[in-house]
Amino acid sequence: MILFLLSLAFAEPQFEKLQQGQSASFDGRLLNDEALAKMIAQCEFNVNQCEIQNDLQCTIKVADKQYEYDVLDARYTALDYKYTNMMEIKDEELKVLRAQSKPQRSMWAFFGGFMIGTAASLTTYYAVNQIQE
Amino acid sequence: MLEWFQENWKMLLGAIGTLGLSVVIQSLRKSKQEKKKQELAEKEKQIIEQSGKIESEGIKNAGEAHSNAVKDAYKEADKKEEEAKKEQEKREKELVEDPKKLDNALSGFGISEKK
Repeated sequence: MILFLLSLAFAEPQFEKLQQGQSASFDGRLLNDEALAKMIAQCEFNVNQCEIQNDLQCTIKVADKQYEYDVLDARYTALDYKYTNMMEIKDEELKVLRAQSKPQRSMWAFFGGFMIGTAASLTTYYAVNQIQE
Repeated sequence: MLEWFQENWKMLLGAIGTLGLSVVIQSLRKSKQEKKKQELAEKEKQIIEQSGKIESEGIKNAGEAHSNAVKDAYKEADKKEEEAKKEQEKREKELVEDPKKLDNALSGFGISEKK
């Protein structure tokens, strides 16, 4: 009895074609062709829908990654622009600061020499005058 | 001493004039450098602003492209789903009209006909 019940519980899925009025050789549910066709078509549709949803999620993920890439690219472009131009400016600024901290000595040497020369000639002139007096 | 100054005022004036001229030249140079520094600071400000603009423009474009891509993806999925629904109806009719195809579909699910 148990074996019989087990054989029923694990019975192979099968179908049998029946004509109206004909009796079935096993217990089960009798579906007409329309119901069966609907079930099969629905099942196939579900598979298709799953693929469509999968493709959609994939496309969205790719779009998300593309967005992340584009944002990073925009940041990189801006930083590159900023860096290149800032370097030029800083170089120029450095030149100005260097010129400011180390003024050209030739000018000072010229004026210094002139001043010393003037002072020397004045001293000589004064000394000669003193001797003559 | 006063006499000496009276006699040599020309020379002293020359020396003071030279010194004054050098101071004027130096101050002019300094002001030129300050102007240059100000110019550079202004340029720096412009570059920072421009860089910000480039970044925001890029992010804006990326956002637009992303939203368009997502919109298109949903549109495409809706279109495909509609087609799949039509295909389902067609398939349903096809199966009803051809019992052999129905049997084949059932065996595709692993349901065999009882002999």
